[in-house]
This record gives sequence, structure tokens and C-alpha cells, in this order.
Amino acid sequence: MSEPINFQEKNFLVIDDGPGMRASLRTTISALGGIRIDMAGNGIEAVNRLEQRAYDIILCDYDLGGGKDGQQLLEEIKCRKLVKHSAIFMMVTAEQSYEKVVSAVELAPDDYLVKPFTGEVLRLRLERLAQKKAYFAPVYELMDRQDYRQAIQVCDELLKTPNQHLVDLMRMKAEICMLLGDYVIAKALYEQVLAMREIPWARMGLAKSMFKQNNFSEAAEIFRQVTEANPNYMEAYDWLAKSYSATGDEKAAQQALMVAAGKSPRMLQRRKLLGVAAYQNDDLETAQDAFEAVLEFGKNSALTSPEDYANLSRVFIDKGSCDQALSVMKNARKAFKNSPEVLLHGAVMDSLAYQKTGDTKAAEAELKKALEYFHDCDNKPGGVSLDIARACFQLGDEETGKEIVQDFIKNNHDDQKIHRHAEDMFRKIGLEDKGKEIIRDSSRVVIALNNQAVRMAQAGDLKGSVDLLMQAVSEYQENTVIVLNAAHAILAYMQKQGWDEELSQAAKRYLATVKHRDPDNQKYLMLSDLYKDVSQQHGFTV
Amino acid sequence: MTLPAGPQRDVARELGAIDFTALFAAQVHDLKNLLFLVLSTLDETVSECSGADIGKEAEGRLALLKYNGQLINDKLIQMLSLYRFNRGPYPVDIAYRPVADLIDELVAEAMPLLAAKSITISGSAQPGLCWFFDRNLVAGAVNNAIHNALDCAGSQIRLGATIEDGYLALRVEDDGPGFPQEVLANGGSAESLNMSGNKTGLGLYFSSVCARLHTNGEKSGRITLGNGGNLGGAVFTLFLP
Repeated sequence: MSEPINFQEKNFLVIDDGPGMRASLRTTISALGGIRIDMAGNGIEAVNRLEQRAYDIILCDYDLGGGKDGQQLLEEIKCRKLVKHSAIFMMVTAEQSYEKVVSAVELAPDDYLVKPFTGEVLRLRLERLAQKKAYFAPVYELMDRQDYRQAIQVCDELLKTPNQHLVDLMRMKAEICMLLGDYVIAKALYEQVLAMREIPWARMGLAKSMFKQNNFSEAAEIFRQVTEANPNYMEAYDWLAKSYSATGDEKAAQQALMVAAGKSPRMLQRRKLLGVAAYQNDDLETAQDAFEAVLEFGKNSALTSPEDYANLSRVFIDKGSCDQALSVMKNARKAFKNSPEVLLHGAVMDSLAYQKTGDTKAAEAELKKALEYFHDCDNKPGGVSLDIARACFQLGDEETGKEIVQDFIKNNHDDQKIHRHAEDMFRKIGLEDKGKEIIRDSSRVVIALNNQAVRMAQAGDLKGSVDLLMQAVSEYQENTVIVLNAAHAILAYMQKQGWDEELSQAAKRYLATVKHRDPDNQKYLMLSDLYKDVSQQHGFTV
Repeated sequence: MTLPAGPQRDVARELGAIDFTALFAAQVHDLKNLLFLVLSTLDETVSECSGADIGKEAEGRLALLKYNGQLINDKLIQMLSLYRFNRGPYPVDIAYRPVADLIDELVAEAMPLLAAKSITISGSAQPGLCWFFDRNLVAGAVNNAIHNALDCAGSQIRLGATIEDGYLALRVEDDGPGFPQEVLANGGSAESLNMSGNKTGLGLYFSSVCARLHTNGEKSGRITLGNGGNLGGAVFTLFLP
């Protein structure tokens, strides 16, 4: 039996584009005793509300008129962590959208209700959800603190007594294991669930655990089966494309993304991926469609960036439609009000466009501007490096072009995807072999340095290893692997040789940098645990 | 049939090209939305009248309106659902859920209909009993059985849940005269659908389809119909693997 909730104390947010439905939901909630009820008529209003107030119960209609639908709104809310784990998100759906609502596997709402429903059923559902949230509260709390190891222990504890949340608990534990990189345990958990029942999320989880263990073709086969059995499971297409891509089959990846984009045309992220894949496959028509859709659907939202305009401009340049390329970046500068980032992208793309039309003088002038912006820019947007290098090579400044690529690769020495993009750029300007050599040599420099640090540590020269890696960090600040290895070396050194205030500060700084960039990075999670251990070992509490 | 000549033939040809299944589905959907508005207005009227003394007869008429309106709504949903299943593949949302929660909800949904009849409804399930099922499909199947029971019961309807032979058995029993012989014989089968009479048998067929959409390995769901049971009337059982 459910415990009654005191609805009077709860903050409700009702999101629905129909004023009639909003009024009707307000009446229903009032009848349950709710008084603090806010309303939003679309996704943008909802986000504004959520930024200002912590809501306990959100009732969101799936169909929100023209803009975002309820699922996309939910994804934005979760991604931006606009609600607490304890908040209840209930999707309300008309009967014709029901199939789409239940097809959201990964970022699913807490529950859904099919219209019309009675107030009594709403009350029963909310009470049970509140109870479930209370049951999982200790796990959520640890997860919010990124204390994942402890969270797993709590799951294990809860799993000892059989209860109605058994399957959800197994799922949660498996998801935490995936975060921590315990793929073998996660896989076993998904298999255990599948032995009880064929459930799509468990099948997906199984395939993801295989993907993470680099069994790409096996994973692709399972994802393909999931899309076949459940054609509306959008996440399955994304993972299918990722798996094909990882096996090097970009054509199949593009195909999977095209099917998915056809089914849910407004998912910007997927369109972007499709555009990138199509561009790599030299399918400029599809790339143009995809990038244009990103700009079209992303209009008036915070979801587009100058890079999206650059992507489209690049397609136009390759097609020889340079006027269109120039006009795209002109629009970009207007949309982003001449921000440093858009000025940089704009100058680079304009230079490439002028170069293509044969106006070398204008191209050189724009490139000069671009290089200035580039050097002044602390936070260099990833893709711009390759565009600017391309402009340099094409205008004959090989030295600068090479330097920029070297720097870019050294900061991403183990990122195969970035290497492929770089190779692709060289291929498009007819310098495939030379490009491969530059990429290989650049990543080798960092690999060698890293290996040297490991050898020094193995030989007992922990301090030498620390010095070498700290030096490397100052050169390749953007390289997450190096930053983490430096932190690791410092912690290993302090474990043996004792606390060093200055070094400990450096390690802390390194970890904070990575946390900012990639909060769920597995090695970061492992090292932040180690940091706590080492501090405690020397009598500090963190 | 010989086609009439001229403009009439053009009309006939035009109509021949229409996909009536899709047209009906879209219209049924519209009807359902209109009905929703009617039912909402009715609910408002009922709550406005609740304080005022409008007399027993008027109260009874409002309750009957509500009851029949809900029946129409559920029939429309059954048709739309069957259409969706046919268009397939339908996403069956299997999750591990407490059976008692389901029964509570089914009873809560039936409550507003009872005012039209002098019938009581009760439900129980073993505490802690959980099962894998799609809540929407099961609710659809059992609601139909509850409506049948509301039509036939003398004074009470009972919902129960047990485990039998590795299946979850959800039972709806009443104290009415029970199912007629021809329904007992093949109610719920596709052959029993009767397109010409006034009882199509669509409701039981819908329940049976909802049951069969539940599969677990080699096993799949089914419905059974019987008479007798604890209350001496009709017994509808939904078995879920």
C-alpha cells in the first residue's frame, strides 16, 4: 500500500500547450490538495521555470505543439540537471503518442499516463512514485556525490531482500557499473535480467557492455536486432551507428542515422552526427540537408553553436557554392553577435571560401585574421583547428598548418575519431599520405613521452615520472589522458614518499580540470577515489 | 453490381480509391477526442450539481450518461488499439510491477461507473506479488471484463490475482447469470467476431489479443471464460506468462 503524500507541500509544474488541458490538470491537482502549481505552455517556458524553482512533481504533455516534444524536453532537463533525482517527472500522453513515449528507453520519464485519466489514478501513481523515489534515495544521494562505489554497495545491500524494485535495482547497479567501467559485471547483470524476461533496455545494456569491451561487430548485431524488433527505439539507431563507425563502416553508420533522422526529424544531435558521417562519406547532399535542418530546427534555441554554421559552410565550399558559404557565416555572425568564437569560425570559413573562388588575396587576409583570433582564443573549439590548418595548407603556409595539426593531435593523441577527421581533411585537399605521417608522428611523440614516464615509475624514479608528466601537462593542457596520468603519478609518488603540499595542489587542479570537461570519465572517478585514500593515509580528511 | 453512368460513376470510383481503414481510424480518433470533451463537461456538470438537490432521478440520469459515455470511450480505444497492433510492430512495455498496484488502479477507474448501477467492486492481491506485464494492455483487457460484469452482475464484482502453473491469473468474477453458452464455447476467438449482429464480440477478442501480446520464451498469454466461481456468475481469467 502506498503512503499518502501531502500534496499541499509539493511544487507542481504543469507543461502543456493547450490552455484547456492546463486548466483541467490544475483542477485535478487542486482536488488532490496541491496548491503550489505553476504552468508552462512550451519547452522554453518550462526550462525558464525549472531554472528558477526546484519542482517536486512535473506533469508534462508529450505533444507540446510546434517546438520540442516532451521527450526532448526531458532529455534537456536531465542533461542540464535541472531537476533533483527525487523529483517526479510524469509524461502525459494522448493515445496516439503513446508508442513514442514508451519507446524512450534510456532517458525515460518516471512514469506516464495516457489521457484521459481520473484524479484518483493520478493520485495513486504519484504516491507510488514518491515511495519508489524514497526507496532509491540513498543510492541517488551517493550518485549525486559521484560516490559510485558506495552506491553499488547500497544496491547490493538492497538486493539482498526480495522486493518489487528488484529489476530496477539491477538496472541501476548495471548502469553504475557501466559508468565505472566494470563492464563484465554490468554484462552479467543485463544477462541476469534477460534470463528472467526479454526486455529491450536490458538487451540494449548487454550490447552497450559489449561495445565498451570493443566487441563492436557483436554489439552492432544486437543493436540491429533491437531496431528490428522495436523500430521506434531511437537510441538503438544511435548506438548501431556508433558501432558501425567503430568497425570503420561509415556508410552503414550513415544509413542507420538516416533511418533514425527520418523517424524523429527534430533530434538535432542526431542530425549533426548524420551530417558529420555524410560529409566523411563525401555525400554532400545528405550532409547539406542535415546541417541545414540543424540550423532550421535549432533556430531560436540555445542548441546551436557557431560550429553548426561552419559545418554547413564547409559543405557549400566543397560543393563550390562559395556565395552560399559566405552568407552562412554572415548569418552566424549575426546570430552570435560577433562573439570571439563566431569571428574565429567566420574568418576561417571565409578564407576557405575565397580561396576556392580563386581570390587568394581576400583568402590570405581572412586567414591572417583567423590566426590572430585563434592564438587569442583560450578555449579553442575542436573542429576549427582542422579548418584553419586546411586554409594554411591550401594557401601555401605548410609550416603553420602542420604546427596546428600537430598541436591538435598531441592534445588528442588517443582519440581515434579525431584522427579520422584529420585524415579526412588531408584526403580532401589531396595530401592524404603527408597527413597520415603528421598525425602518426604527432601522436607518437605523446605516446613515447607517456611510455617514458611509465618506465621511470617502474624503475622506481617516481619523482622523475612526476616531473616529466607535469612538464607534458604544461605543453598539452587539453590532453585529458596526460592530465590524468600526471595526477596519477603525483598520487603514486605521495603514497610512497609522503605528502607534498605543492604537488597535492597540482593533482587537485588536474582532477578538477578533467571533472569540468568530462565528469563521468572513468579514470577521473578512479583517481578521485585514490586522492581521498592518499589524503586519509596522511591524516587529511577530504 | 453495374455502376451507374456519368457523375455517379466518378463518385463511386473516387470512393473506391479511399483507404477506409485509415480513414476510419483517423475518424475514430477524432470521435474519441470529441467524446473526451463531452465527458469532461459532464464531469463538471456532475460536480456542480453535487451540492444542489437535483433529485434522485436526475442524478441517476447523469450517472447513466457517464456510464454509457465511458463504454463508448473504451470501445473506441479498443478499435484504435487493434488498428495499431495490426499496423505493428507495437511496443509492448513489459516491466516488473506489483500486482496489487494494478488492481488498485483498475478498481479506482471503475469506481465512477458504479453510481449508475447498484453494484460494488472489490479487489485484492497477495501483498508483495510482482509480475512482468504491460500495464496498458492488461488494463485494457481487464477493463473490458469489468464492463461486461457491470452489465450483468447482480450486486458485486470481485477482482483477484493468483499464480497458477507459472502464470499470473487475473480474475474478474461477478454474481450475474454467467456467460451464455455460445460465448463460453468460443468467446475471444477471431472466428467468434460477428460483424452483422448487434453484439460483435470485439471486446473479448480485444482482451484475448492483449493477452497474447504477452510472451515469455515459448509461453504466451491467454484468456479463459467460465461460469460459477466464488460469486456464482461469470468468471473471466487473464493468464500472463
